[in-house]
Amino acid sequence: MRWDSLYSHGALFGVAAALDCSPAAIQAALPSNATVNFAYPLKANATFQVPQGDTGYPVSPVSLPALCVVSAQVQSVRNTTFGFGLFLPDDWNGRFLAVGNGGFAGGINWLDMVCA
Amino acid sequence: MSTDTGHNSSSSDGEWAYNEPGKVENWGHLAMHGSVVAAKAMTTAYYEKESAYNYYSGCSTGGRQGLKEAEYYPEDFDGILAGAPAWWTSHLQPWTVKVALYNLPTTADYHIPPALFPAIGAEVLKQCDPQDGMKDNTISDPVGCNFRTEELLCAGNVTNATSTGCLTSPQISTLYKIYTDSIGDNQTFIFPHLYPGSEGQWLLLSGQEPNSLGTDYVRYFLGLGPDWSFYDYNEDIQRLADRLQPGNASVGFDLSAFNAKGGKILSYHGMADGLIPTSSTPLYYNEVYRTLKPQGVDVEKFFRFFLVPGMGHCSGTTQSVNAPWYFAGGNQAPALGPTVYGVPGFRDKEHDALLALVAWVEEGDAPNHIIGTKYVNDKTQAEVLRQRPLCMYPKLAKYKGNGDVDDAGSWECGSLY
Repeated sequence: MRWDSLYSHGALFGVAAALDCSPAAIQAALPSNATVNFAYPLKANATFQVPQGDTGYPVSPVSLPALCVVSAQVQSVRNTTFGFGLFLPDDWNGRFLAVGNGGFAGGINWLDMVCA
Repeated sequence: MSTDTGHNSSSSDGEWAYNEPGKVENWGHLAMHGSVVAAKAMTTAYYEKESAYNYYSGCSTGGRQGLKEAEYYPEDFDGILAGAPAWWTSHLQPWTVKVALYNLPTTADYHIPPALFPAIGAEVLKQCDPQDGMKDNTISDPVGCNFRTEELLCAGNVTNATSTGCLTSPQISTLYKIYTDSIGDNQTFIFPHLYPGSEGQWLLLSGQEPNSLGTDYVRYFLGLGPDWSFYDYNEDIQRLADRLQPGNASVGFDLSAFNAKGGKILSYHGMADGLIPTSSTPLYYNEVYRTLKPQGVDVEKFFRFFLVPGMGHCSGTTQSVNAPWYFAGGNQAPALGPTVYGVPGFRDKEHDALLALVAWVEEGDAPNHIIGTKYVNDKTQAEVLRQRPLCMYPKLAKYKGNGDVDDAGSWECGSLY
């Protein structure tokens, strides 16, 4: 989450990661109904490459702050699942932000996760 | 955090929903809530600290998801920014078919070809812009406009209405339908109409068939199947949608639990929205008001919304209007550029709707207006063309009588009466 604008508003607390940005560490942090799809660190100013085949939100966000990118899958009703994506910034301001989708689209809206 | 809502598709494709009630329920509300719960747990473990505040931002379906969270899962967020909410799914989607049929088939004498939409928009602007008290190329009070459709009627010597930029009498009848609420049997209110001033975004009226956001809903969410013909649309379809409520996607009006926990909602809707009629948001707000005020709830203390003159669906404005539409709402930043965030040049709670929400949640500073910005060049954001306050419903921005009309300080939010 590129909440730089909120830093001027005042970071609530400066927090650094306590876990490794690795699939194993992230899996251990997830509830039992969730499975990690991928987890890896990105350096400052990197681009997150949206996985090929993602139809709903194919545009890759650029110029990211240093962060850990995570994707996980969660069990749901009637043998279905849903997925979610999360950016965990190295320098976190203490706020959690979720963003929405559009129309009937299915896909993680990686782009809006950055632009807020 | 963002959820994929449980499937992979474009925004106009609803085929995944066919005979898949679990997927529809995921899209309706389960995926957002479940993702929020899991992502919060992961965040807490990752930093060994819980988030201090939890926020949401989205527009269109995203606006619906935000309101749905407030209704069903009030514990998830402290602040929700919900733009142009598609909250009445079971009516908005069937209406999307119905409104298109006003202007179909394209061979009918009442069909208005899209080539005529700019002429209609120009006539609406001519009549409605001055009626709001300021001739500034922006319609600020479409509901207050006394619009005479017949000014568009062709003269007797016209042989080609489209090239002349005028309408025949049967086309005038179509225009009346477009600007009229959808009413069913026994005077049942079905759905509000598009605002005058939305002509620049009449995508739902311009095709050879209705938009798939309507037809795919009937075919795959209501289960009538791929062979269903949109020409068979009738009010039974609406009744079926009311009965099935696929995925429980539509949002109810009792937000008392979200209010009770101290949550805040900021909403907004563009007055030139051609996809979701603008007045569906004041409709929702007033239904919440009717539900909660009798319970003694002061709705304005937790839920406020802003109409945005001249803004289309979630973002943007037509070039002839150039309305100040930008305030870092859901999906807005990518419309300016790939590295844009917040409001360039104005990173404060007065200009940035998300920061306004943060200030309301964390400091109790409730916004009475947000200042909208239009840049000279949206791609560079180097220079401001105009700024103006977007006022909390039911107030409107009024020119103070002196000062630069493009300066937000020359305007104040005032009552209509």
